[in-house]
Amino acid sequence: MYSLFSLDKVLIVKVLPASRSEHADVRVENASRYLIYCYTIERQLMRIMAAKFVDTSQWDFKRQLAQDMWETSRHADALRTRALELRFPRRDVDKKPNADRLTLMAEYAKSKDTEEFIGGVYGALLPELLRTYQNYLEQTDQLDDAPTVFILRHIAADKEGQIEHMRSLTEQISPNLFADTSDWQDYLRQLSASIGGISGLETFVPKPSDHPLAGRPAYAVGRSVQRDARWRPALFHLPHENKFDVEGRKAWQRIESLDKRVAMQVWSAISHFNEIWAAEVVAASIWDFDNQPWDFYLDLARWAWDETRHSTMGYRALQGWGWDVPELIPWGNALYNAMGPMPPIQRLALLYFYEDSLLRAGVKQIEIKILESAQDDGGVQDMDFDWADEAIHVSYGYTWLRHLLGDSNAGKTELTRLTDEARDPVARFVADHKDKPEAKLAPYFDRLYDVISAMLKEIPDDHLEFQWAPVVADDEVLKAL
Amino acid sequence: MPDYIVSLVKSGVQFTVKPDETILEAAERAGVFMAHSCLSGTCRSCITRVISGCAEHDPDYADELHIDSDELADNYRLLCSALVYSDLNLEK
Repeated sequence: MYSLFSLDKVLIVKVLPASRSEHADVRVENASRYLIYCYTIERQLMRIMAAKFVDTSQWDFKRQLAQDMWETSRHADALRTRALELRFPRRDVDKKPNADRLTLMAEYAKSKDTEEFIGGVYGALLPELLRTYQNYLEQTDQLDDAPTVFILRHIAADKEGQIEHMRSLTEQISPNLFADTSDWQDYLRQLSASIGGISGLETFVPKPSDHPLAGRPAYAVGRSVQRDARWRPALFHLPHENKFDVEGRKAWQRIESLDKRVAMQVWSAISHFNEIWAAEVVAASIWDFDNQPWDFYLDLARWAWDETRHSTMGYRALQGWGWDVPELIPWGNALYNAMGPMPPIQRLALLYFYEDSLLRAGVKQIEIKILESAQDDGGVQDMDFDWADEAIHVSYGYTWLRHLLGDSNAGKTELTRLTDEARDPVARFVADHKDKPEAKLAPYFDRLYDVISAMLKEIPDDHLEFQWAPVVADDEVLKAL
Repeated sequence: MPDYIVSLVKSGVQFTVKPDETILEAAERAGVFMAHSCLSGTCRSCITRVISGCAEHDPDYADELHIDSDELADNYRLLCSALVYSDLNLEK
């Protein structure tokens, strides 16, 4: 056990008195160890949140987990940076994480479902983390350690916000969640106490090895995803995904025949909403790839959160039109599930190929121009920020696939092979599922047709001339897949 | 330094590039649509092969660009970060 303060002082020493009444004996070595313990917890928490985001189907929980996952990555990064400033050895930060804290977090990952995970993290871990930061802030010297104080004040405020927000969500969605998971929270609290708490400075209690919830098998992120139970099961979301769905294509063309500009708006919003699969592929990678450089996780956390934001942009647009989104809009899972059996590196390579191809084809630019010409200001704004994000993602993909595969000709050849060989299983998945009811989009588009048709009767025609290109580049890229 | 002419050989479009202007900036000024995104040489959306002529990346940022030595040797350039030192033909 260590202390934030220096120890073993004699009571009377021949020195001038300290220039302050308290906090006169906090030492850098102890402060950095405190922070690095917190970093280890935050880093693992972020990775687990990413994985549980994939496993979570309930849309509001899923979205919140993605946001909190990204914020947690920023917290971990700030703590890591500060600990390095405080002379914590770089090699120890990266290569010798505290085993007790890794063990604790591995248990958090073993939650059996979303409810238990939320109960454990928001009921036990985050309140303890918050208390740990507040303890540090109370003990450290506000002047000597001002950079840490600045960081921890912000992190603590974020944690408070996360806890409040999730509690508010659970009250709406699952009011008994925290009560129902109290045993799990209790187990995790005991486990934390057995290592002296997150900081390692609290009272140690015996390890709860005989707790009924101890001893679960190691966790692995899901290779297939389910969608929120409010939606009907669906594999695909737009007709270009499934070339066999002739009826779905015809039904979409009926919508286009109503008004191409409106059809484009709807297409764009549905497409955005369904970008969640990209977030899931990246988030699963955060869990699947162990022992990578910290920046790998930091970048992928941002990538996964961005894709969730894009999905939320689509949801916001659809909801903003007053639509019952679960009733009207297909929310597919084929893209993630088709990649499920692939090795993690191949899933990441395929996503990179997809995003890189879209940007090189200028698809985002084209879509913005179309939306601008249609004077869809909201659509333009969403797409513009989406475009900026995607450029970052391609940069991440380029950087980290080179890291994983080797910055060499052999690495480039392997990337090409992985991408080429990924197309077959995706095509096979589509062919294998083409006759299933959840592969048919016509019922969705028929219902949408009625809704759009009724809405258009209320909107007078402005005879606006606008550019129309039915997402040609998108089709071209997807053809390559 | 004189202005140079950039020719896109596939589309037949031409535009001029001023000194200290990137190829992409010049294309934008001329109203020529070219795929791009980050404008900082990291997303590779604008990577294009130079068929003939001399274009080099701004040396102040050369180390930060996402382009490898093989691509440079094959005359690929990131148009958002490339300056022109002669008339150019681009594979576009």
